[in-house]
Amino acid sequence: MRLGIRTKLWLDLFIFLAFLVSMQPALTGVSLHEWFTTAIIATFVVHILGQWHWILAVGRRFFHRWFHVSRLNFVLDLILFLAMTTVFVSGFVISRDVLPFLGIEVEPSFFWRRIHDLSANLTLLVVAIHVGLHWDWVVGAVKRYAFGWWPRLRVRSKTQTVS
Amino acid sequence: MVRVALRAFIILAVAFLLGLALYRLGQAYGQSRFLAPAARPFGERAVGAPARDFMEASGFDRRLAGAVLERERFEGRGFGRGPEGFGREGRFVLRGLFGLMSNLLMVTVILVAVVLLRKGWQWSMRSRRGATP
Repeated sequence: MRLGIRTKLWLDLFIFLAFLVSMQPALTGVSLHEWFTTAIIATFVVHILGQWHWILAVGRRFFHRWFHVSRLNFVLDLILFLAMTTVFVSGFVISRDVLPFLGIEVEPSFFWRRIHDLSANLTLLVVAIHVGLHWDWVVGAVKRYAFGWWPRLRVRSKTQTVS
Repeated sequence: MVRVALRAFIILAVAFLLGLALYRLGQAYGQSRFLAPAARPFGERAVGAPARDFMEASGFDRRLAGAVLERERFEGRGFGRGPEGFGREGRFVLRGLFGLMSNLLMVTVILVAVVLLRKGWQWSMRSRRGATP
């Protein structure tokens, strides 16, 4: 699945903001928090599908050259995937709306609640590092696709002043 | 399209297996399990129970009820939803906004640190290469 840079940029921006908002169930309320994060799973899958070729390429050559930034990215992405899975699983186990809606009652437990909090905080930390390592790409894509109209506007205003 | 669907299936399957392993691990340590739809643990019934009932309950029931009461506090409703509980309005939204801002701040700090470290690393590599004849 090959996504264009523009699509990737908006998708990633949406995931990032959605993740930050869903980190605050006090803001949205627990019910919306649960349904919203369940819906977000699909966007994560699309995000991973967009990087499929990169994952395969780096995965195949992982042990060929150890000290490369792509290896760091790969390991970090793996940690992120594990942390995300933990967040979703523990979230489902302490679910009050999604699973009861499907007819499954869940026993309340502090253990899963703590795991949920811990893994969510870990995910936030890894997401920040993940964005930091891809910062050049983010800046380039934002300049080109989000503010692409800015240089054109400047050039147009300059030519109008000259004429 | 079939290939993409297959890849999506692989991703979800891996996540499901990891999740299942985690859940089994939790279960092995005696943690919560899914109940039959009809089952109603004490904890669910304890929502809104007077503090006296909670204090007089057995240790096991208190632990179960504690989880629910913790959820009540987590949602900003407080114990028993009475006048002593936290108000659901106002403080609830403010707390969420404050949390959102603090998370954003934390992400920004880590992001700046990572970008600076990376730039520093790139700069040192470039200067090291430049120093060699």
